[in-house]
Amino acid sequence: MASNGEHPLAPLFRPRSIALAGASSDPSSLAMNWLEVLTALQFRGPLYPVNPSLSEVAGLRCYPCLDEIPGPVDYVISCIPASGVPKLVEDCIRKGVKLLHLYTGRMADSGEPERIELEAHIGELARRGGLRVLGPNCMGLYYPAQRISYTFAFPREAGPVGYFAQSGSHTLDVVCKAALRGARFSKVVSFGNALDINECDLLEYFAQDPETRIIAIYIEGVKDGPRFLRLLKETTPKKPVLVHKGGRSEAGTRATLSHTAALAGSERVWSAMFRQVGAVQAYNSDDLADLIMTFLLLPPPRGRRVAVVGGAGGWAVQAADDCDLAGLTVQPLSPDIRRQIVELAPQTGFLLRNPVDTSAGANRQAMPSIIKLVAEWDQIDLIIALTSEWGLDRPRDRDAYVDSLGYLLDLRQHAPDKPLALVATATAGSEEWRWRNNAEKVARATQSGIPVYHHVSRAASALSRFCEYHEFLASRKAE
Amino acid sequence: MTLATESASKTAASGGDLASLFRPRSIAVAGASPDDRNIGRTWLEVLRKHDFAGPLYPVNPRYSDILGLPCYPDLTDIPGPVDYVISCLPAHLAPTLVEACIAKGVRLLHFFTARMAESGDSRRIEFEAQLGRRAREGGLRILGPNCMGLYHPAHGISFAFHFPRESGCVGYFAQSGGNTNELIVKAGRIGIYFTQAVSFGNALDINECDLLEHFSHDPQTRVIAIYIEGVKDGRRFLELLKETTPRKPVVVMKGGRSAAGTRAVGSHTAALAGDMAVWTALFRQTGVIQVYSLDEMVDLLQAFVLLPAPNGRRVSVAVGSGGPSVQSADDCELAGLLVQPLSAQLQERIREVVPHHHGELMLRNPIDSSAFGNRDALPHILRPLIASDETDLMIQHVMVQALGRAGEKHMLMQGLDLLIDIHKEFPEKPVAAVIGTSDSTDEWRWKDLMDQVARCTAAGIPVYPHVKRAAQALSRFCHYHEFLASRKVE
Repeated sequence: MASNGEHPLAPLFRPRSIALAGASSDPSSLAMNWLEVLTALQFRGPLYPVNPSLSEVAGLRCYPCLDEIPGPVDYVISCIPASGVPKLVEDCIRKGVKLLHLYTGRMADSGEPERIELEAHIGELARRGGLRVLGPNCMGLYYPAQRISYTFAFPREAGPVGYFAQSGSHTLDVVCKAALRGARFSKVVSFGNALDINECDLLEYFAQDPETRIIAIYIEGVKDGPRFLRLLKETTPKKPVLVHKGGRSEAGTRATLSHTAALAGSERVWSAMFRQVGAVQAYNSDDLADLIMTFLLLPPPRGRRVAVVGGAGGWAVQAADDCDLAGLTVQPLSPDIRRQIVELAPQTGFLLRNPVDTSAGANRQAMPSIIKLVAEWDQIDLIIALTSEWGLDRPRDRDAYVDSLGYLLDLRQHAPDKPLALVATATAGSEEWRWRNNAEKVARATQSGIPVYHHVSRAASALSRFCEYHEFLASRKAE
Repeated sequence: MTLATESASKTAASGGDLASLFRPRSIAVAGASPDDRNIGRTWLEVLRKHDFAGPLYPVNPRYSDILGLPCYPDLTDIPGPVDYVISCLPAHLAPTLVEACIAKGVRLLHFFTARMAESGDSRRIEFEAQLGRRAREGGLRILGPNCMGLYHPAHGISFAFHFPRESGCVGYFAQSGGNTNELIVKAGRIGIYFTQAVSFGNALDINECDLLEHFSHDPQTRVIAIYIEGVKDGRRFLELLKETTPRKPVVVMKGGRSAAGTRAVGSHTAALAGDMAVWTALFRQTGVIQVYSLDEMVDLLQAFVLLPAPNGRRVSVAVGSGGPSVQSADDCELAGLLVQPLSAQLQERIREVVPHHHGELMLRNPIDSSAFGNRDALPHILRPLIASDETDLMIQHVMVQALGRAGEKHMLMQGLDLLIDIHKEFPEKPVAAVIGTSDSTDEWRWKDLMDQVARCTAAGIPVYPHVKRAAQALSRFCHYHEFLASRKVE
């Protein structure tokens, strides 16, 4: 740890200047993408394209090599082929570069002995010269507060979620999907083959990072199991750690080898280990995004008793099944609460026990009051609100429906201290109005800080793991 | 009971006459009103929009016309024959309506009317039973109560404006109106259409057995989809399933799989949900494919409607990136498909035809095209791969989140062009596409994706929003064909 108490990686992620080795004027190249993104985000320091055969790229002066750059260079992004990397490493060391990010792939991930050898050689050169390396075979750093990103698809605003992933594609998927539902990130690191900076370094960094409240991880394997386990143990009581482990099957494990050359290990061992240390396991990118939303937006639950409000009969049955099978308790509502619901929504049918069916027309308006009612009941810990566009046949119904979505904006106030989840199907239907209604609904729920899930099974499963984490915290306090 | 009615009720019990009941010459809507919130009026509007060819008769003593149609005070006042009546009346008027239907010679009465047995109230349960007895005596068949009734696109009958006008080869019946609606729309938007779909609610008369028998014998129905919460006659249902699955795939979603779900079923359609372990065993024995959500149902319908029979479970997966290749391998293998490494001979055969590859060409399964450093290689790889007897099924996974830039949209199109071409060249191998949902509110993204999905399904390639869903659907699809093969061996 540095003398000022900062993690050693922290200053590396705040470069004063960035050079792009292997700059290209091809508009479809990733090198050009990087320059465009950094320029558009108005990265505060100088940007230096490097390529001996170009004099200018994207309006910026292009340098033949790092040595020619006049000012200091803290951070280098490499888009050059693998064979040129050893020389680049030497250039970086000579120039005093702090962090070299190798987008360059086809090294250990290729499985070929010469390339594995090459990667190891690069690692050795860098270590000797005091240069830190991110990658190879990765997208590197997204740090919105520092105006560093690798894609236009990511938001410019920062938030409290820290995320590191052994796959660049997963970061695209997770960040975009979670951002759409209101999540913002402190920083995201795609770290690929983990030649130098690995999952342990990153976990330690995010655990100490004051800008990060929730840690999300995608890993395919770890280099130092005992250290990773120890770090998880230390971190989970302070910050929730959400982990998607790729390579859960034999075939997946074979694929991890060719992807990031990581050793995947046995799924059962991993799951048991995650449970023991209070890490929350996710099973794919959508699932990880669901968990991020859950931990980011919801207050701690007091228990597992859930009330489901909304939706027609078939949905109610599905919701009850999904909640029950996910390990939540679908608490039957008391006769007194049921009587009050009938007063609020006289058209309600007979599905009142929980789930509460509010599908009959006029009952939609009663939904906020019903939610308030069940939220105030001390036998309920969690609330799931089901919404759909099904049954909105006539154009006049659709307009009325959009008008009625205002209730979402203050739904949160109706259940201020209890976790409330909203279910809205993703990109429902081919008709434009259906898609629009849905988009509007997601936007309004997001605006009011309510997490949106695309199926009730996903809400139930995320809430159940949310409860499990809080049970873990409570059990630690009890000890 | 006279001899005549006894034989009539026997035919009725066989379910064999539902085909003609579902092709009424005329429809009356009891309880329609001019009020635009009135569901009876909506029904009339929907039937008109779907071009129902016969006469439509609103029935309500308080109005003389509704939507320009003459309105009759009573069924018996209607001049021509009435085959089918939709009841939007409150429950207490149902007995009078049943009498009027019998007097008029109506063949099928559909009760949208609810608040009967599903209430759990013993008086209402008896009330519903009494209606059933009276209808049976009078030779009147009843659909419902507490349901949305019939969707029969070829005959111009629908209960929602937005249902497709096209007919297809899936027969569907469901104990939930919402689930009927949702499946029709979700399947329809990707080009999977229905012969008929029936929402049958409390199943007072026409029940899951009658409907299964109907669709089992319906020549236009190739695939049967079912949502049930419970059955009235377990033994008959089992016999019918056994008799049907060797000829047509049957996909079932059973609501009420948990204690809480079972409680909800009680107040939804008053059905007895039963023990899930028993259900699952029963489905497995009879070759029925079980699914756990309507999305999964759509996934299976696509496979059964579009794909040729597979030779086995060995899947070759093509992916454009490393993380998704790991995810694909995990999801396929955990779903029960076999993700096997390519044999040395096959790798050799592929290397021979791939132009200009430098050094080693990583040929693993999944195939990760981002690792080639040569995007043009993919077509040369996929052809020998699918042609090989090492490939029983193929999945191509197309990334969507990367569509941030115009060029990448072009890449998606190209990827799908290639898949469609390959499918045309090798139509005997099942091929599926995974086009991730972007979850996006960007209009262009949503529209482009919908277009691309429609293009694939129109070409005979099912599309799944996640590799996990593709893997699960294909594995269950294989399971059905294994069931067929095992029967032939016996």
